[in-house]
Amino acid sequence: MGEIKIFLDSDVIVSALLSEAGASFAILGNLRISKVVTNTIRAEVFEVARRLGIDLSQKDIFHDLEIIALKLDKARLVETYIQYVLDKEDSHVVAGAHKSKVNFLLTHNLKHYRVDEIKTRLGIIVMRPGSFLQYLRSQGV
Amino acid sequence: MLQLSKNTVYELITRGEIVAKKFGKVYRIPVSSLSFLFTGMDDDVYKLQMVDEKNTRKIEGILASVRKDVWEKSKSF
Repeated sequence: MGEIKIFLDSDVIVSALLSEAGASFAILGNLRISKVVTNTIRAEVFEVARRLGIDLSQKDIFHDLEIIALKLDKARLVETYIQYVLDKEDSHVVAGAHKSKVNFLLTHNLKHYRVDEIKTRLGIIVMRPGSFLQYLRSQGV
Repeated sequence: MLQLSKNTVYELITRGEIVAKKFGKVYRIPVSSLSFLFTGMDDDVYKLQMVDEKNTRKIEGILASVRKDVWEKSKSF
């Protein structure tokens, strides 16, 4: 089986920060999977963590993650990716997944994304962390 | 409900893929063994997902607000 590469939405990383007993933490700790985020996702995670009162000073949550920059201006981002989301503010997540050429985009908020369009046009499967863990089990990973 | 033949179910029980307990001549299968049918996940994976979902409700509103702020402040991504 080839490399499994996934893109993580911010809520998956924050979930892993909130609990080590959940699916998100299990995925972040799986070193056999390549995980990618954008610098925007990282900025969101830091701010959400700050507002939730999570101390990140002792945690290097991004240590094993590849961090990329989209290098897209806002107008171009919306023009290209608005068709895949319900709110334009979420378009950078799909753009990040597309640019990093992943097989999967993991999020806890499937309803924010047009999952069928993303699968058909970009070839990316959007799923929850638990479903992805089940997929890994089915593949014997 | 399982859409499997009786023989296949007995075989899965024998192989341990479905956890069941025999009472006399009858097998009883706990709901947790059938988790996949209802949730698309094995019971242990479903429990991991549920831990996250409890937290997701806490995260959702804050993330929406943060994402909006980041969007408004950013000219490029």
